[in-house]
Amino acid sequence: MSDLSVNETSSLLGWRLDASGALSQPPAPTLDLLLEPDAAEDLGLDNLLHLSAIGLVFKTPHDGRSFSLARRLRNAGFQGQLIGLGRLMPDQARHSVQSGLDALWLEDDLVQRHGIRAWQNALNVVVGSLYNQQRLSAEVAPRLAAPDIWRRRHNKAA
Amino acid sequence: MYAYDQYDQAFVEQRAAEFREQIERRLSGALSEDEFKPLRLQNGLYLQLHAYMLRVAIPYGALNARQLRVLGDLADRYDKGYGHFTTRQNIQYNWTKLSDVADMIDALASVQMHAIQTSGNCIRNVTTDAYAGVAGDEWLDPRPSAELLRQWSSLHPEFAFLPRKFKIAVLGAAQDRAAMKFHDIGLWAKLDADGQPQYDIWVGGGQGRTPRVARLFQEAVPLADLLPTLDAMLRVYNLAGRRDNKYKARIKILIDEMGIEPYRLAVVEELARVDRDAFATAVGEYQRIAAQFETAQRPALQGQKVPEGSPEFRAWLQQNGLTHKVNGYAAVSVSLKTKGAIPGDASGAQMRAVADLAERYSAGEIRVSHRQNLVLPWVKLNDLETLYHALLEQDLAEANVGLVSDIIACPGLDYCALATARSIPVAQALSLRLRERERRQGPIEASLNISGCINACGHHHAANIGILGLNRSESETYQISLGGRADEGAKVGDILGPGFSQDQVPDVVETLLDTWQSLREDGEDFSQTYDRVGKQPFKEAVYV
Repeated sequence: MSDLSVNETSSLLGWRLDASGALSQPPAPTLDLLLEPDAAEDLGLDNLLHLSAIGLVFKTPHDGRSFSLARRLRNAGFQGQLIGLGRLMPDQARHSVQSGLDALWLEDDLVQRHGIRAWQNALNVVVGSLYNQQRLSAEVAPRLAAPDIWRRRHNKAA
Repeated sequence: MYAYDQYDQAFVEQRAAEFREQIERRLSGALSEDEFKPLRLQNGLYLQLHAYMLRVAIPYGALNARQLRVLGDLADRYDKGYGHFTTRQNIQYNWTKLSDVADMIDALASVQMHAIQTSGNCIRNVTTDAYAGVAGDEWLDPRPSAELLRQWSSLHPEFAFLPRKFKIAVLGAAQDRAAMKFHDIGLWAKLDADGQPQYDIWVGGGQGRTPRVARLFQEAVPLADLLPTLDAMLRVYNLAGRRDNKYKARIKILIDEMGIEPYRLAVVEELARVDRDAFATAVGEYQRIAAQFETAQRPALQGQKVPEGSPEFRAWLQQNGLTHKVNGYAAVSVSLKTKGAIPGDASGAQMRAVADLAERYSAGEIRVSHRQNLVLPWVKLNDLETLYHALLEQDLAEANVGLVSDIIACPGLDYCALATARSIPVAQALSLRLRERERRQGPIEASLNISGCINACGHHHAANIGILGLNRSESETYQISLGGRADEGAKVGDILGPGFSQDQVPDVVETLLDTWQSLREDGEDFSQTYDRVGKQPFKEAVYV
C-alpha cells in the first residue's frame, strides 16, 4: 500500500514536533504507511483502521486535505499514531494537533529555514482553545485536557 | 447585540498576538511571501496594487456605536481618511502599512472585533440580512445562527486550507436580502412545528468566472444536525474539490462535475462517521446566543407617529425606510451612494457621525448591508425627521436605497491587484447620470452592479443590469449583462453582446432603462419585463 518503506523514511535526518510542543531529534518514526491525499480514496478507509502508525503527507502549505484525512480517520475510530510530514509551516502545527494528528516529522532543512525557535514556539503563540474541538488523538487528548470554549461555557467535560 | 464574554475576548486577543508574531517573522525574512500569503490572507491582509489592504470582519454586518467609532479612527490614523464597506458586510482599508497592521488588530480586539477569515481559502465572514431582528417579514432571527457559525468556523483547524474560499449566508425571512443563493452554502432558517429552528440548506452558489445559483441540498435540517451536516459537507469538499485550477476549485464546480446526488450521498456517508458528541454543546450554545439577541430586542412603543415633515423627508423615508416588526419603530438605511460618490466608501468623520446618531436614535446599533449601505435598525417614529436632518448635514441622506443609482461596485483597478478594469470612475459617472434621471422621473427600481474583473466581487452577475470591466487589447471594455437578480428568485444575468468603452457606458445604461420603461407593463419590475420580452429588444436598442 505504501509508496515509501519505513526504512526510507528512517534515513531522513529530521525533527519531531510533539503535540505538547516539544521539538526533538529522535530516530525517525516507524510508519506502516505514507498516505498521499491523492491515494486516500483508492486505499479505502477500512483498510487503514488496523494500522498502528500512518504518515500523512502535506504536499504544499496550501493543501489542507491531510487535515481532513486525519479527522476522517479519527472519526472512523482509528486509534493509532498519525504523523504529519511534508511541506508544513510552524503555523500549521496547531491545525495538525487539533485535527487529530499526534506529531509532525520535519526534515532538517525545513526546520532550519523557519528557525528552531519558530518550531519550538509553534504551539505556544497560537490560539490553543477552539470554540468547538473535535476528537483528538487518544494519546494527545489526556495531555491537552482543556475543554473547548463551548464545553467550558456549558460546564461539560471534554 | 451579541457581546463577548471572557472566552471570546481571550480568543481574539490570542489571535492578535499570533498574527503579530507572524508579521514579525515575515518582516525578519523567516517567512517567505509564499508562506506568509495564506497566513496573512486568513487574517484579512491582501497585497494590493499600491499597498496592503486590511479587510476587517463585521460578523453578519452588526456593529455598535463604539465599534463604528474605532473603524472611523482606523480610517483616519492608518488609511487616507476613509474605509470601504464591502458586499460581504465587512470594511476594508486600502492604504495600510504592514508594520501598522498588528496595532490595528489590537485596536479592533479592544472593541470585540477582528479580521479573522475575511480572506483566504477558508470559511469567510458569515453574512445575513442587514435587517435581521427587525424586518417585518422575518420568521426567525438569523443572527444567533450566524453567530453560532462564526464561533464554530473561527480558526477551524481542518477547514483553514480548503481548495478555495467558502462563503456562508443565513436568512430567516421571506425575502432574501443577503443574496443567499449566491453562496457556497446558504441557510434558510425557519421554525418547525414546535417553534424550534430548522434549516433548508442550499449549496453550490457563487459568482466569479462560472456563476451558479445554489441548489437545494436538504430541507428542514434540525438545529442539532446543522453543524454535523456542515462539517460533513465541508470535509467532502476539502478532500474532493479541485486544487489544480483555482478557477475550478469552488464547491459549485465540484457539484457540477460530481452531480448533486453523488455529492449528497458522499455527505451522507461522511455524516455517518461524524463524532456527534463533539457537537453536543451546539444547541445549548445557540440558546445562550439567542437569549442575548432576545434581551436586546425592544418592546413595542405607544404614541409614536411618523412626523409629517417636508416632501424631501417623506421621499427619503419612503425609499430608505423598512417596515419594522416592532410597533413604534422604523429601520432606515443610510445610503453610501450619494450623487457621484464611490459606492460603499465612508470617511472617518462620517463613521463617527453615524455612530453618534446610532447612539442617539438607534439604540446604539448599526448594520452594514450587502448593498454597501448602513442601516439604523431601531429608530423611533417620532425621531425620524430629526434623524433625517442630522443625516442631511453629513451628506448621508440620499433617498436612493434599492434604486438604480444604489450601485454596488468593487474597488476595481484603482486598488485591486486582480482587477482588469476600473470600477470606481464608471460607478461615479453612472451615479451622476442616474441620480439626475431619478430627479426627473422619480424612483427607478432596478439593480445595477459593477465588477472590475471576472471574480465578480461587485456581483455583476446578480444585477438587473450588470457591468463587467475587462481589459481587451490594452484598453478597458465593459461587458453588459441583463436580467440577473440576487433575491429569493436568484438568477444569473445574460451577456448582452460585445462590450463598450468607459465613455459609452452611461449612454448604454440609459438606453437600456429607456427600453425597459417603454416595454414594461403595469407594475412590472426589471426582471419581470426582461423575463417576458427576452434579450432581443435590449440588444436591438443598444447595438443600432
